[in-house]
Amino acid sequence: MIPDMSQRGDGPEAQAPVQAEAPTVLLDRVSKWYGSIVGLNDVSIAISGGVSGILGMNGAGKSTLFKLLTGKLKPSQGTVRLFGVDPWQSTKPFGRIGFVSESEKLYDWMTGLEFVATMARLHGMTREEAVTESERVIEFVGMSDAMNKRIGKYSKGMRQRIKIAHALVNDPDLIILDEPLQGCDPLARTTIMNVIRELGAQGRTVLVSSHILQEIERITEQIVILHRGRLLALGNLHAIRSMLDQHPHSIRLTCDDPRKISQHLVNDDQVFGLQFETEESLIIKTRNLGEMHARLPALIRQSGIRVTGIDNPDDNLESILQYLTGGES
Amino acid sequence: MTDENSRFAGLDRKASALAEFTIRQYRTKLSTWVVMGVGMLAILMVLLFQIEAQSQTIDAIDNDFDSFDFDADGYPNGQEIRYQTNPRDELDHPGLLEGNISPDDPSLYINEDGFDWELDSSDVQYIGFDDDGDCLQPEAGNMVTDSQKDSNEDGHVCSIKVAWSSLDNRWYISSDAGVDEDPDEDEFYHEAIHRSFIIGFGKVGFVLLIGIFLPLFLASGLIRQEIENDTMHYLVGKPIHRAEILIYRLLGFMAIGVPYIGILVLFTAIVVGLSAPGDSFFRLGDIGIWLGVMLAAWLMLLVYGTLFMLFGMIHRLGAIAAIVFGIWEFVLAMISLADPSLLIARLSVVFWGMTIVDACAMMVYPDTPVMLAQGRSIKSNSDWSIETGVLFSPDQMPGTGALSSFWNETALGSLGPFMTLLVSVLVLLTLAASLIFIGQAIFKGKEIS
Amino acid sequence: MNEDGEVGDIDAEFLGEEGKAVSGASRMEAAYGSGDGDDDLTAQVAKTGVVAGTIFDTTYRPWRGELNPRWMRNWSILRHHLLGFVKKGHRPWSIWMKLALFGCLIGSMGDLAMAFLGTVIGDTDLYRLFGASRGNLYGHVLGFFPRNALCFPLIAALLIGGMISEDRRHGTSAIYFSRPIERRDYTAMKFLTVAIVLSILIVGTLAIYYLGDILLRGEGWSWLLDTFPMFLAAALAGFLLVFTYTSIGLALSSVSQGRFFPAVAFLAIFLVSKLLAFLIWQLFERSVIYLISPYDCIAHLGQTMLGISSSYDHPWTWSLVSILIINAIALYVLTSRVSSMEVTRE
Repeated sequence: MIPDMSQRGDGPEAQAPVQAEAPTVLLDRVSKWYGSIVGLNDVSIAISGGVSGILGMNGAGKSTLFKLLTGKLKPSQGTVRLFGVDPWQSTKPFGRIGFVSESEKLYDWMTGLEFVATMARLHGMTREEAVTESERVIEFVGMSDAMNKRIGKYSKGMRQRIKIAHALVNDPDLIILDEPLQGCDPLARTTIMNVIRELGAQGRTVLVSSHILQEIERITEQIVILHRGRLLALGNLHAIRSMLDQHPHSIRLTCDDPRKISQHLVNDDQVFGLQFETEESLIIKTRNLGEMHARLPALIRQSGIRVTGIDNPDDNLESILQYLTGGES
Repeated sequence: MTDENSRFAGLDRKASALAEFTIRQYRTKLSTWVVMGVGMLAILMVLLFQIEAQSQTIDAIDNDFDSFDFDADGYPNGQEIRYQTNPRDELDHPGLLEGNISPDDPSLYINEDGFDWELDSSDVQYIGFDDDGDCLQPEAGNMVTDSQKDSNEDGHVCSIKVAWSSLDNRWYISSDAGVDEDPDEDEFYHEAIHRSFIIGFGKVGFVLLIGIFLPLFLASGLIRQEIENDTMHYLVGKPIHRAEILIYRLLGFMAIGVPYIGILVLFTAIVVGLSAPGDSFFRLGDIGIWLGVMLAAWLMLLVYGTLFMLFGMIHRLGAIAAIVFGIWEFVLAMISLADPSLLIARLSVVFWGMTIVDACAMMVYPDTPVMLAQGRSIKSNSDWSIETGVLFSPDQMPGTGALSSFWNETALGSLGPFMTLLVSVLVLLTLAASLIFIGQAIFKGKEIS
Repeated sequence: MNEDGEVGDIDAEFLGEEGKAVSGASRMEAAYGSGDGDDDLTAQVAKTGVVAGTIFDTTYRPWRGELNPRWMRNWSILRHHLLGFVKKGHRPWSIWMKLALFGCLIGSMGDLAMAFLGTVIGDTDLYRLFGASRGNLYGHVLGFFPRNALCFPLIAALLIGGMISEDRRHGTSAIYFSRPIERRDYTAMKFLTVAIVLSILIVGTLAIYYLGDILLRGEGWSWLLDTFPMFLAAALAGFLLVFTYTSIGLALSSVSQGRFFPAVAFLAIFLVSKLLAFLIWQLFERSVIYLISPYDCIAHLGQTMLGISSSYDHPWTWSLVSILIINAIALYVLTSRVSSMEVTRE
């Protein structure tokens, strides 16, 4: 099975396009805390249609967000609505949702087909319908030849695909995938990414989470960035990048003689500002953090001043840059 | 596909899907087979004892000594009494009478005067018939005058006075000497053991042991296992109400437990029915009580299954709560067996299950109190066993002890057995329903992380 | 290898000898060379100038320290388990476990408390009822209700519940077995932990009871000499009980992966066997089935040792054999399970 990189998705449009008044996914000032740990902090998002990537480091709140969406957690504040319905109060929207969780645990004693068919029957299908639909989705994810083998014998990529199949069996309008590419080999990764793109092209709403930007980039351009429970950025990836380019970044140097070292820095074209924070530290303002960091060691050596610390005070921008500028020189 | 997003669409399909899934999940677990296997082995072991007991013969005891020959004249006492010669005078025996009467075989005079009790519903009755005539005979031995024949002085000659005491809930017996004094021990024993086995094993074996342990092992993990294995989200993220998840999982559990118990009870009933005393090949009449045992055990499965499932769902350490609760039930079961009229016994689930069995026993064997009274009425009449030559004094018929320890007039005394049965079933069903209701309310508010 | 069996240059590189780094190119060539030996060793290998490199520069130095003696290592395991009851930073025991243990400790001192009460209020009957005597010493250790029906089996079940199974489930058994700790020692220390706690509960309280009674009684040495053998016999029966509880419990814990199944199975074994035997005794007046109930076997032996009239029909030697067999089976299961346990997180 060779993945087709040029696949654009010519599946049929969804029969009943989601033209509800309410957006498919709506979070309105949602906060969730566990005791003193904040999972999400005042997050507001509305998503309707297409593939959206949810980006964030571990602990940023991606899983919390998904658990709130799928009715496993109750928001401490704010409202969550799926198709206009609160998932914590009612299980109605689940008939139109498919959720692929991050957990690797499956029912190892079932075959792939049995598993998907049982899940299908839990949506209310008859046995025959369930088997037909299951075979259809299993073929869609490319697992037809393995569907009668026990899940316990599946490889990681096969397990991921069977999980995606079970989420698709009820022809959902909203599909949520939590770290679907984690631990997959490159072949499985590409297949899954194609599947996700295809689903988005069919008009469904797809939410995909990851902490690796390159993966998300290959699937979609619409991203949501979370950091420590807060919403950091939302929208087109390239637009965010260019916005960041405008935004100055800071580097703090802790050294013996900030003034002396500043003389060596002031002429560098990447530096557009210098600020003397304390007697012993200097803030460098630059537009290109990566380039600045690359030049800094040479400049410091030139100056001959002993530097005891280099760090980035604006932590959250740094983390965005980790994603957005990684891979670019 | 469901285009109506109502949760009631395809209710039965979801139910059967989840229940089937649960059953198949049980099949893959070793603990299911181990528990079921151990249960079967235990029952087999106990049945072996029952078969052995029913196949042995109890020594006959000559309770009234009339097979003995006190005057050593060759004629048994009983024969001498019949022919109105003096059993203690060797010179006076039937051989001297006309007709050339030869000595009877002494075994004719063992167990010759059994219980002829026809009881009606009056509180005080005079019953019994002197089969061997040692009371009724005009000049029988040392019972010549009417006052001697009426040794209990109740105004009725050669009879047994039986009085029901509702205060103590038992019969009081006072018999005239020589009436129904030499019953058949073997027959009594087998019947008593048969009944006490069914009642005792029904209550202890099926209702208590299997009723508690099968759910304890199998039902506790119904929700807990899914949460711990991180597979709960597959069930929760579907258009199924959380209450449905609980109910359908329970259904799957019952689908395993109900046939298991049914088959075990059926097997036990067949074995016990075949080895039962009585003229017929198979005791069909016992079917009432076996059905009661089955019903009681099923209801135990339902209630305990729900309870343990909820314990597991509420908290990880719910298992400890289940163990502690199990011990509580054990203790109260012992109390229920000993004295079911104690109110504290009603605080347990097992009490109601045992009451169902007791109620059915009362309906199927309504004459058991009489049997117990009969058993207790034979007091120290015999000191010498003809077979073994061993001196002993039974203070009751063999088998009475076992029967009395397991038989209980149902503690809901004023209600008849049928009403008791209904009330107990209702109590258990209500308990199960309210547990499910409370459970689903808790489950709905439970966050699954 | 080439035909005369010598390892040539290319092979040496493949095998990583002579300090040469293995590059992808040479490996390919060696793989292709597995024909019948007389074809040229050629292959379509992409010689893209892959630089053979090390991932990071690590120098491994063997540890040259002194390994502590075996008893010290084992002691640390034991200490870790026992101190967990009273200190943080050691094996965590749940609060319910500690509460239950505390409750049972207090509860089993009930007879001493009653005897004390008897002396304080001057009621000789009460004192006679609860003071140390043959029957009471037996009852302190082997009385069925409530000690051996509720208290002792419950504590034992809670103790053994997660002893070995939790290690398997959380993968901490891998931590133990990748250290210089023998599996036998690991099992033995776990066994000792449970045994020590149970001994304190059963025999320790017996000793306190006996000692307390001596103080209350204020008797002389002659009384002590008379009753000490009884105390010893009761203590011995208590240790036998502790040993049996521990071996059966740990065997169950080593078989399962959860902490719940061993505890329940443990209680089931004791209570169900007792109940079944009781049922058969009531119905058929046969006491031989008490041989399957471990508690009854030990109770029988205890009665024999303490000179109390036996409540069982069969000889005490049968009970002794039965309990030995039960313990042997349990220990066999335990040791074979632990020695075959895989050192992975299952």
